[in-house]
Amino acid sequence: MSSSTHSHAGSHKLPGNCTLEKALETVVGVFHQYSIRQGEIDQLSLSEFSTLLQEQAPSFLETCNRNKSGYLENLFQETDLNNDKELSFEEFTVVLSKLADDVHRISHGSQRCGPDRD
Amino acid sequence: MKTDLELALECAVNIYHRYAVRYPIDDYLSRKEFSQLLQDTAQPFLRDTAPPNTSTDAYIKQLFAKADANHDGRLKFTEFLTTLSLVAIDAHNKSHQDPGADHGHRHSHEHGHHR
Repeated sequence: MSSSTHSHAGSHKLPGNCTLEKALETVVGVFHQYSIRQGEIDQLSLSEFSTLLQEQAPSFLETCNRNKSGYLENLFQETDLNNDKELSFEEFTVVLSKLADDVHRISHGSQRCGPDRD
Repeated sequence: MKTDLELALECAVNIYHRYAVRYPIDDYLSRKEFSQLLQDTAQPFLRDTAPPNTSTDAYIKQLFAKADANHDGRLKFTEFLTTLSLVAIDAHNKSHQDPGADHGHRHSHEHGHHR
């Protein structure tokens, strides 16, 4: 078991003994941090969504051409299933899955772009 | 410097691997590994979302069947993500519940959270 000798500023929440419940509570907290800013306080506008990803998932956005112009708008529109220009938490979990998939690929040193393998 | 979101997702990936690597050693969750994972790390989710009159085992069986999209009897990571989303949604629903409901005493919170 490795012990971390440094702490991540503002990220005291998840040591090696994390649970799924705690991890997802953190995710919910991050969602609310951004959803509360404008309009519907429990939904993400395009601007809140973009800021959330830029600040919270920079590594995801830096690869596979995701930093090209229009990418975030497209992703938002694809995810906004009921077309109400806001993402509910349920809608947001689709993006969450993409982010988690990316983290999993990194853990294996797999190629990060391209479709899911079997 | 990893963000809170990245750390949370790494946590989920680590948990997946901790169980997937059990017998057999591979990057898939067997139903047994999936069951152990949920019972060890997502008890509140299982308790909150199980349909009425359904045992934990039966519920986990349902979840596994739902997640196993290609019906090969095991879950690869992307299949597991459908269950992860359900746990996330439950966590989100709980975040909006009345915290006074379970306690003996009531607090008044002025959070301004509406349904």
